[in-house]
Amino acid sequence: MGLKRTVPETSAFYDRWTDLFWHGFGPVFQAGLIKTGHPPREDPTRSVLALAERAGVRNGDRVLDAGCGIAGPASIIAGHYDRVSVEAVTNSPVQVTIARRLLEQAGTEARVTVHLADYHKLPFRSELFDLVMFLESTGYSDDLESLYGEAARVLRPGGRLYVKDVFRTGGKLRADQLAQMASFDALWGCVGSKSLHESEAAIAGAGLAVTRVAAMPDVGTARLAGAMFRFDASLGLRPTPMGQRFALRDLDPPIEFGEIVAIKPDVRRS
Amino acid sequence: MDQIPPELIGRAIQDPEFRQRLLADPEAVVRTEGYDLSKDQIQGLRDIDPQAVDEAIAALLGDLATAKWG
Repeated sequence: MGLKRTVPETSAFYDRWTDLFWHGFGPVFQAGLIKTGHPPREDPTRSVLALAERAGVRNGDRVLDAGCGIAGPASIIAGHYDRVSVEAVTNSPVQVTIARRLLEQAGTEARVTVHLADYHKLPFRSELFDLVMFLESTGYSDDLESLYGEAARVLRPGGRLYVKDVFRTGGKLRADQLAQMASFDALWGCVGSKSLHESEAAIAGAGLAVTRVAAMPDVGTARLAGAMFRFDASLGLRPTPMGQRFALRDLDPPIEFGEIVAIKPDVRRS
Repeated sequence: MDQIPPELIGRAIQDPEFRQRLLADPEAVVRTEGYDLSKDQIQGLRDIDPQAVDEAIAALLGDLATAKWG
């Protein structure tokens, strides 16, 4: 049932706004970046590679990037690991078109294939992937059971799931917090941001063994804020086109960055 | 002004103390923090009125504590 509602809405959202995000964010559509280096900086490439390391990407892996945006992360990973192949899935035709063009420009098109598909119903055979990644994409699902069930299906035994996302904070929310979450989700086209605990439970329910659930205090959002505004000699600060549409005002949604790692048990070995 | 790196702008929005330091002495902060800005960009930052930025942030984003979400 969820698919009938979720997929067209998300597809339309990204068909409409991808060009704006591309010019605001660059090719990595993520609100939060891992701070790396000294002094710590929010560098999209280094952040993606840090995520890949946490996800356990290894040369030779076949990786699924589920909810790939314009395949910026997939391209960075393929450019860094010379024997990794990535299947990247988005349900936005606009994103597919831009992603394929950017992959050609980056020279990574031979090892990254972009698919127009619904990540609740993946166009891949079972047990194909060594790693399935969701990088800030699970908030667009209203059917976690299908989402992680499909991820589990396409993972090989012993394969890994890695989720990094903006999660609703756990516990019971007050009415005002619920209202803020609704505004936040509506602004970003999310069906409903999930909590880490909800996601962990859904992953376990899909038969995967969760090995890590953690908040990510080393993720920063300065690049996101800076994509919304420009300094202006007369006004002090001026909203960019992205800021005119997406800057939050007087909202403090109860959200946090977090990550989940899980493994598909290899029953043949037990 | 040439475009300032978004992360630098974002940090200035999110962190009042950093904003104060950046706009008071952009060359020193940019060097210390390892950003690569042109002379024109440094001069552009010098031309910014810190009070105007404070007022713009308050007007555009309301409670400064919420600025971390853009």
